[in-house]
Amino acid sequence: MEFQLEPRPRGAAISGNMTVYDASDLKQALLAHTVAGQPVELDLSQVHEIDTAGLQLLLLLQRRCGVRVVACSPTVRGVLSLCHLDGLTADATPEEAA
Amino acid sequence: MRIDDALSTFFAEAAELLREMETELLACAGGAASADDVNRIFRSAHTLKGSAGLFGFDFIVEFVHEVEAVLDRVRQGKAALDAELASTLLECKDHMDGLVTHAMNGQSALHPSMIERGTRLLRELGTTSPQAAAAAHSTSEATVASGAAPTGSETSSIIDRHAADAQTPGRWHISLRFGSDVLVTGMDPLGFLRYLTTFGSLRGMVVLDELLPDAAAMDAQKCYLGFEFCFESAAAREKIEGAFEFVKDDSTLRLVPPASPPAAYFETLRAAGFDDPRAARILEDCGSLTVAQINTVLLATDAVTRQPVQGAALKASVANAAARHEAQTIRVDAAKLDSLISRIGELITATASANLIARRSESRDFEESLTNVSALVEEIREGSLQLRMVRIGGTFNRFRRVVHDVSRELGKEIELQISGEDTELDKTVVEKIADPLTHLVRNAIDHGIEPADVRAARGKRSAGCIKLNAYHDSGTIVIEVSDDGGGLKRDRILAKALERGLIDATHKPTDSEIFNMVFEPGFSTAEKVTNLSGRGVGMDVVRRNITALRGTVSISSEAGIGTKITVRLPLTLAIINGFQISVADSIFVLPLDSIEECVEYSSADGHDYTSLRGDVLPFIRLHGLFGINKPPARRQSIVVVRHAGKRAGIVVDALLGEFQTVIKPLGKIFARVDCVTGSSILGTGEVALILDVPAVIERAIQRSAAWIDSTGAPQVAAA
Repeated sequence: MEFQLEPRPRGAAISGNMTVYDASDLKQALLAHTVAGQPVELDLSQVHEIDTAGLQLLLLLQRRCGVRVVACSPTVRGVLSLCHLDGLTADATPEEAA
Repeated sequence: MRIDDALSTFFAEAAELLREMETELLACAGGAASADDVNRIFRSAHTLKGSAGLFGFDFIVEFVHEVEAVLDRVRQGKAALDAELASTLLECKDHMDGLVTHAMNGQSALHPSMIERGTRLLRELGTTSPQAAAAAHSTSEATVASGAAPTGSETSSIIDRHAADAQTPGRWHISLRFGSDVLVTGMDPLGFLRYLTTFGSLRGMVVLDELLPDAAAMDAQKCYLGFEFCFESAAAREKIEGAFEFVKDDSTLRLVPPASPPAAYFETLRAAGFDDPRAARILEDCGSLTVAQINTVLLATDAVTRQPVQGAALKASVANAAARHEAQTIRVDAAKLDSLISRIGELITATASANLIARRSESRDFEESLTNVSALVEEIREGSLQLRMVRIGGTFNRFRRVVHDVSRELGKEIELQISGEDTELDKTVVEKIADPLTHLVRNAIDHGIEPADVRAARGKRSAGCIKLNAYHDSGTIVIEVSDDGGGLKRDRILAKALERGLIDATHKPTDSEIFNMVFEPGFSTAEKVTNLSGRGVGMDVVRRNITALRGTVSISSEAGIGTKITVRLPLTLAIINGFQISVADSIFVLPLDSIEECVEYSSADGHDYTSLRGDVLPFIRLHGLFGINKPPARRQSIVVVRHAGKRAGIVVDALLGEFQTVIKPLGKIFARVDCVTGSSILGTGEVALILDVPAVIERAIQRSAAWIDSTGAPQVAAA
């Protein structure tokens, strides 16, 4: 597996890749670590790659329990900013996608 | 919706946009303009231009267009938004105000001075050849008078013109759906979006997650997401469509070209499976259509009803879009609100009289049902008064401009700190308090804050600081204007007061008495008269205005540290929760919010104070105060009232309880009557006087202080 999920007090830290190749496993891991209706904080600062499948999982999680991305790598920030989803990040410095 | 209504909406919106622009510009003038600030200013200008165009106010469009061009350069980092440019832009904002007012007045030709001003400003901005702008100005003609309803086609012609502008990129709205297997075939939808950004920019996007199934049922390798976005690019349709060549067979791409009439956007989104309210929200969130443009769909209703098939659907979309906006705020004529409130005042009086009759009739059912009615009336009163409540923040923000202008004029560096801007108060009060506050702020800048060299010598920061603060306190709103300047010159004020005979030479005034001398008419200690203040007119006017609102103003100051002016105002002018008390046959009303508690009457050896849990409480007898020559009741009570941190007791015969009280102003002949602020009509038709709590407290404290002075008894505790 190309990702690791490490539990944190109010959520989890994910490292590695959040891509379609591991999406199914990542989904299971995320579901196992979250409870519907209880918001989680995600540390995505060690995520190297994220694609639509990864983003889709974030949105799934957002709908299931609410997500706050407390830290993100430049790649993740790039994707969130591309899709105007900066609202997911906690340290909201919304950037206009140029 | 009639064209007049639409026009007045435009004027209201324009005023709002310009106000926002001003706020942002002032923030930028203070230094450090973030990209967000610039974007917001740009958007305000852009929206203003768009809506002005819809109504054919070309002279507004021409000018705003140039301003927008400058802002765009700033946005792209080609120009810096420094204090200088911010100031020019502020002037431009004023000019736009003027242009909008001009449009509102419905004149067609611009006054030469306006044209000259516009040309000068454009020259300062260094945008285009001023001649061209001037020519544009003089040839423009407003179509206000003609009142032609703008239709979709007119809209598009205006947008077309801008789209046709050499390098102006157009805004496409793109609706994008991928096949569910797109991910497993190795394509990443995000990649396509990224590719788009190489020849344009994504202005706004809504990622649709409606199709995402439940967590358990979701297949993580399938794509469920949809994308709606606004794509700004100069590229042609072929190029955009070409970007999706690889997924052509397996995806749905819907494009709305720039310059399409707003209705076309709605049609496309309907085809993508959205109902109209959702479509309107998406279009607004993406920034594909401005609120104004969504509103133009509204305006088009008229034209569309002539084509019944399409009309019904569009009308529905229009109504929904409108409903969504109205859900946020509704503009209501202030006069309508006023008349509602005054009706409710009558209703309260009528209910009180019905209650009285019910009690006399001794019919239990009648009384019971009236209790319900009274409770409802109470709720309606609360609710309708709430309608009139507005945040004071808007007024406070206006002072950013005042501070900016005045500090430039005086060459002082001033920082304005605002807190408590969410505090709410009656709209009428807000309007009437703006002028006195402006005066106080100007005064603080002019007299309060010392010149930079003096500040440096005193070891203060070179930038002076003015603070505006607001909060609620026992039924009143407190507004504080404070500065960190040199403070009032106590000795000079005292000397002046003695010279003018305002203070008895034998009397030793307290600091606060001395400071409050500045509110006397014609009182000024300023050595030099400036443009702004110092001529001795003003502070007395400030006090008069505030007193007229049944408010009070006081001042405190510390030499070298600063001055604080505290304004206290009632939350509302119309209806209060009253507490009725009686003395002999007369009934009086106290504002319930000012009452702390009621205690049994007792006094220290017949003097005018009593002990309230060990503290000295001065009190006043209403018998004495109003010269009522009847024996007091056997068991009197003391009502403890509080205002501005001071408290006193009022001795009364009986406590009648809580009643809704509609305040009626007193006639002019009562203007000199102390301790009474207004009257109210009771359910019986009798008139009750409303006591002026601050004045009563003041009087009670003075009296007992005078007595204590002469006997050396302990100081009165001012809680």
